[in-house]
Amino acid sequence: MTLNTNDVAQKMIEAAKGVVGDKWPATQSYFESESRIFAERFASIAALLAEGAISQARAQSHVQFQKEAWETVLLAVAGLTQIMVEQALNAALNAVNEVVNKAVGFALL
Amino acid sequence: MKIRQLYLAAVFLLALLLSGCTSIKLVGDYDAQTDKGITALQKDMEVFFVTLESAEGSMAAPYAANKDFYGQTKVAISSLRIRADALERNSFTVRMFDKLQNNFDRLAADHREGISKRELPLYRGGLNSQFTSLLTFELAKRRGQKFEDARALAPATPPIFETGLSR
Repeated sequence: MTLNTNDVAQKMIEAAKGVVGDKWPATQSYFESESRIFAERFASIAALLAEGAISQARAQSHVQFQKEAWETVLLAVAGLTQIMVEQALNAALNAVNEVVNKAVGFALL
Repeated sequence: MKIRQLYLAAVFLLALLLSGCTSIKLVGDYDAQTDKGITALQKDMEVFFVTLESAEGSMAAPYAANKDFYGQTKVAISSLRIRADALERNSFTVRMFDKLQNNFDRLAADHREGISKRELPLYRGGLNSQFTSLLTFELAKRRGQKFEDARALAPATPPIFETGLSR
């Protein structure tokens, strides 16, 4: 038995798409909500500086602080994306293991 | 497009053959102790901010009376970082702990100079975003569960408009 690569590829892509379609909206929503909160914090730093409530040096410290926190959020987003890719790959492989194993005649996948 | 799809399929299969296994893992497993440690540290931080706010006047409670917190936090983060570093495929979490420690160091430096109560929501909010990120990612490592569940367990980041800072 030969493998129909078009069919295998299509099955893998459909399975991966299902995982991405399920997981990505939640990751995107988390990223967007955190982005809005950080924008509000930067606006607050500017407001405190404009009022003279904090010095320029302190405002810079606040900006560095928020940048560090923002980078932590981005690391989480990157990590969540990696988990999503991992699950998409595994779903793609699971979707075709039967047809591939049948074609090669033993449990390859 | 067809060629690209076939290429992707070939890459998947090749990766599989080379790895010799049927399951791919890019990120390490969930760790209950890390989860508990992050949650405990976040709670300690909230208690600390309540203490800072409780001082009379417009300034937060002084550094000298609260410096022990920074030492205890450093030890706690260091322990969590070492544990995270010992677990496989966990570099994101390790880097997140580094960034958390960097911000506690910044907070301590600013605190030595004096912090007004109006600044506290900025520090608290930034740190809570970091704790939320750590917990969200850690709980997502359970797989199979929606990571929004993790958000529900994490501390809410206080909206800035509720803090009086924008007034």
